[in-house]
Amino acid sequence: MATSSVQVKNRKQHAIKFKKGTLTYDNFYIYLLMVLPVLILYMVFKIIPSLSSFYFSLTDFNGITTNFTFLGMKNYVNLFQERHFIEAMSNTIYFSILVTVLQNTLGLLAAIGLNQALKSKNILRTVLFSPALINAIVVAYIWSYIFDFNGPLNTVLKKLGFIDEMKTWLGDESFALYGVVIAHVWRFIGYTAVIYLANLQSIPHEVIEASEIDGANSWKRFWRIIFPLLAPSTTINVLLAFSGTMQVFDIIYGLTNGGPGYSTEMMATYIVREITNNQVGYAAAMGIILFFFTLLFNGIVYTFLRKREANYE
Amino acid sequence: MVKRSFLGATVLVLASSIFLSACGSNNEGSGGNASEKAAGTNAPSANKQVTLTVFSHKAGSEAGALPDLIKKFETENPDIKIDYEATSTGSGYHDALKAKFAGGEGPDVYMNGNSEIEKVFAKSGDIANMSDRPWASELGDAVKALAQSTSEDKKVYGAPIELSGLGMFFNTDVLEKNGLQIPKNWEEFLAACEKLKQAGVTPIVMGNKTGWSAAVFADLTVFQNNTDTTAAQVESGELTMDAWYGPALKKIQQLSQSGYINGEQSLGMEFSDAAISEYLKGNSAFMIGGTWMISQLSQANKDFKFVFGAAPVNDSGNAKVNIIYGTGWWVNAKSKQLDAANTFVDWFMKDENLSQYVKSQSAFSPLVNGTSTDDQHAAPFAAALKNGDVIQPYIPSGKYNIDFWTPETKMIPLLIANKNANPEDITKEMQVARDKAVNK
Repeated sequence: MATSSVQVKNRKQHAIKFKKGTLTYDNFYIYLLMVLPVLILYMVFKIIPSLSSFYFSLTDFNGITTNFTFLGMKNYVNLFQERHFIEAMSNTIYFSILVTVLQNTLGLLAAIGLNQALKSKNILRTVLFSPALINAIVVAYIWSYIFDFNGPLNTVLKKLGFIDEMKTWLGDESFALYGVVIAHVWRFIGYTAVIYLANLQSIPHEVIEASEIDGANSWKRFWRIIFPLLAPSTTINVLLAFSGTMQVFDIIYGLTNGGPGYSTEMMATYIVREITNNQVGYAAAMGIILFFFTLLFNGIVYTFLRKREANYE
Repeated sequence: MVKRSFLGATVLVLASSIFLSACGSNNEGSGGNASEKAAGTNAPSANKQVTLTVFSHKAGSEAGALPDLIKKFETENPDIKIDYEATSTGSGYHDALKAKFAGGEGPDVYMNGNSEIEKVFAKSGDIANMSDRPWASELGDAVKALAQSTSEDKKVYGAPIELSGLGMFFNTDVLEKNGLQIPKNWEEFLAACEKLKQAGVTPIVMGNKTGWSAAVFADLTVFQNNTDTTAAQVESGELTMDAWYGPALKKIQQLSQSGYINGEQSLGMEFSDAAISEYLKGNSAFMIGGTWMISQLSQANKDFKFVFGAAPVNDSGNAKVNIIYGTGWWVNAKSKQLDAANTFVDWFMKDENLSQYVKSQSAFSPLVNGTSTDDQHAAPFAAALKNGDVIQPYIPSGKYNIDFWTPETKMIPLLIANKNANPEDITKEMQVARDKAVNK
């Protein structure tokens, strides 16, 4: 492994730049100093609790006293034998996939619509984005009212003749999960659309005009030119939607509290229930599983989307 | 490319770890086992004023008569000054309490229900045994049993200062219009429900969004008809969940299948708001609830005619009410003002003082001859309490942390809504909960 003279020269130049004592913008240490406060906060509030979480997952820690017993992998063995935890895992994955697909499809459509030369586009953009600014619990109350027995959904559907009798939508095991999906997508559709919109506006007009001259129709233009060029925003939107929904808690808590039965129970709601029941060690084991699950699924999605991005670069 | 991949991987890990750090952040301990050192006791002397730190979850208007009582105490006990600090339960009271004890700065006296925290504190020697205090012998039997459930050795660690209760609301207007009296037992209850249903009235309103009404109704039915149930029987497995809860769940199924409950509609209602609104419409006769809901109903509609009493789910004898350990005073065993702390609690537990607090909370006195709220809506409940018609609920031994509440609140609402559940499924789930805790 011979080192070329050019490489040695480059290293020497860097060595001079990284010289201690002078805090200039060329100095590596100035950047380290700038990052340090955030790094310390991140270590204290994120890394250390995360590592301690892993340790507690091997114990019967109750969250009150430090007098606990080391159990080894027993918590992990027990939780995989728990039927409702497995149910919560599958609900979480199903919920994440549904929300990610719907949120991105509808968000993209909204972004394309808002990218047109409409007079009211600024107002429409604000209206579409505003649900993202509302607290999840408030969103849950809004949709609880919509889905209520005496709520507007029943009134409208009955007037239009779609239903004969009023229905408690969120009390229906076969519908409740979709109800939560609708509320969650409604909340974040504007957020997703804004990211797509920024990407849409960065596509050079020349590219679109060239495709028009070449005779591409609207569909071909979208599918062959625009959509591939939206790869970076697709990656961001899909990852954000997926990782956010894998850890969903607040909207579930407000809308259904995981019910009826276990039909909308998610991993996060299950974990919180165990914590409130003072089974913190057990809950920590669930948290670790959720972490690796999120990492695994996001890893798969990220790898796929990055490959797709690279193909269009 | 490598940089981008690294950046991407970093983002992935960070995004995935949000929940993980939340799990690990609740790691404040209480300071571990009881210290061997004896707690210092500085008796209040005439010359030196001691300051007693009192931590409570009654903040703002919730405090009721507490501020006045503290002033009265300080006037009558000039040697003791109270440093009162309050945080509502919604603002992290329990976390603050645990953190104070963990940091060795536990208050001299604190307020709380008889919760898991107290069970742990009793075991670790953080709270004082108050079995020998003068007021302990004045507690009613059912109250004493609740107070003794803090520890396996059945000692009284906390001073219960208010009782609330569970039972049933009766819309006397609706009952009167249909020529009905308040039912006294299961048979009369069923007959009343049928008559009301025929008259186009929904007999029972429940709020089961979180499953509360359903679980409480089941518990009331179980405990009124299984008087000899002991924790030992349940924990040893001698009493199966099917034998214990099965009959009560079949009764609930009967009510549900007969159309006496606002079945599926109850799944979209919370017991503490939407169910009350529905009940206030006056189209139903019965609602499961607690004593604290009395003021909610009367404040919402002063003309609404109702009373609160025992749920008539008993097969025989008198219908009984279920009392709940509302809240109590707990003394820090390691307090340097132990004598002053005991003086405060003993003073507070005298009926002349306690009654002021109890009335301000619209609650009931834990003392046998104590003075309770005089709200006429609660008259049937008070009468049952006075007669000793009180349920002896299931009190866990303290050895295991069995979570019956989750399967009850998850599954019984489905039974009520005539959904995909039957009594056997529910008792099976409860058995799993028992086995999970006992075989852990």
